Amino acid sequence: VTTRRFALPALWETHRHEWCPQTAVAGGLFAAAWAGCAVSWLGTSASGVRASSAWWCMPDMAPSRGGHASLYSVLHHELPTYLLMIVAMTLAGVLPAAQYVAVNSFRRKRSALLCAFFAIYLLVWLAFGTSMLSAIATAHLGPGPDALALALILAASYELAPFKRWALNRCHRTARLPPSGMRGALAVGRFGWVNTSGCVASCWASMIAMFLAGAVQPLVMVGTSAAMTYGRMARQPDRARRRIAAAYLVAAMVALSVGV
Amino acid sequence: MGNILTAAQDPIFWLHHANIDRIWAEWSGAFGAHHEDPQEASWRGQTFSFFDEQGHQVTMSCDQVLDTSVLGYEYDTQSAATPAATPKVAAVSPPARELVGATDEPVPLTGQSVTVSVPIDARAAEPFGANIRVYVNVEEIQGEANPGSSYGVYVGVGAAAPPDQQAENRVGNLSFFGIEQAQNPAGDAPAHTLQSSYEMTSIARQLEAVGKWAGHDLLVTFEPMALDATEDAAPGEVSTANHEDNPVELGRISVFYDA
Repeated sequence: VTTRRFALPALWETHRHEWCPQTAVAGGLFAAAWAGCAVSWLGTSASGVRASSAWWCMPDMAPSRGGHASLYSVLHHELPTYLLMIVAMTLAGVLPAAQYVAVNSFRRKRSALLCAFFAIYLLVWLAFGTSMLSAIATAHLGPGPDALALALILAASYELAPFKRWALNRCHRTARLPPSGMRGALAVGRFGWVNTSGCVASCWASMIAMFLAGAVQPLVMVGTSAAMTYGRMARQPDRARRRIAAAYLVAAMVALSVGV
Repeated sequence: MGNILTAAQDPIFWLHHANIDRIWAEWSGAFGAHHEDPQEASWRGQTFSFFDEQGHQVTMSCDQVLDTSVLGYEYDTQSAATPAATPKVAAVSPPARELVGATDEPVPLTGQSVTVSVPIDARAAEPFGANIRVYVNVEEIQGEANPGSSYGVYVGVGAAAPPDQQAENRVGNLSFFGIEQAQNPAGDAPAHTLQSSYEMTSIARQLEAVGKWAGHDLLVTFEPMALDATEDAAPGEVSTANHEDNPVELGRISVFYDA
């Protein structure tokens, strides 16, 4: 008889080698998303279309492209790229939850339930991205060292806020998953909502920093991705939050002093 | 003893854990066969901080306390010391787990005997290879506080089964130690739920032999354990297992193959 604590970070550490084909595919998508982001960035850098202050993933909003674009234009052109970035930045953190769905379903139902889980995951992040991009476009916010530093200070402060701990707990929560049928699908959908909304509530401040990074967005994207994944996976989340907050503050000082 | 925040203040806590330490030491070298400890770095490297007899904080990892002789003591019931075996990687190869059955609805426990039917999926449970071990899991155990009652867990029999048959089908006990802190853990730990696992391979083999395994319902019974009152006990002196005012929910009962 074994009785144990059961949380997603522990699941990741104990069973991270038990990948089923579907979660391996998700891992492949994660790698492909990063490759896509890298290709996109290298391509735009080589073409010289964007100035150093341009917004890598939001060309229509970049100051070098003639000011701020319409809300429609932003949503139309940026959401696909935004989704690529989201997959690259957050999929590693969500893989333990996907594996939890895979392990707790019948083999023949696994693919369908994982598709339902990832659909909810993308929809929640899409809703967040739409809201953020709309807000940024409406407010005529632009990237720059000051904006980036402020966003990083906000992210550091949020790391130490009690609500962040609540959001992380939501990320770590497991759920009762009926193995098949409509109840199973609904339960997986609910689990996807709880897990992803917890991730959004946990990482929104870091994402704002990424939005406002300007020319150093690839660098900020890598850094915030690492911080978000570490914060989500750490077995000692409070210690991880303190470390991430310190790193964000250092990054804010660097952004101000270097002026990127 | 039943509350994770105060358990260490109860002397029986220390007797209990010293006994676990003794059982572990005996198991490690029992019957001339050296049982191997887990090799996972996450388990071996897990650290715990405590205070020594001088009040100094000491931090040690699991790896440092596996061999009692290194710590300066041995149990007189311990079998002759066995040389530490070279870890065999094959012995800790990852298991291939497959879900073969689970309940759809949560099960409330309030101190009464409860029998649950777990549908064993016909397609998922076949083939039932010879190397497969079978486990019944009680998952997503949640409650406000430890009700102070434990339950015997029986597989393949209902509550009305004869006592001798019940005894054969008992796979273990279910307790709720730590349930208060699961969703809001003290200290720097992630929120979690409780889960218990019980091996039931031999019972599953018996059910398969009589054609009552794949495609059939598996009965899982939770029987509250209560102290019997002596004749001279005053009314109310012995508490009952009833905890209707402090229910516990078992989120899911599942059955897994582990090859």
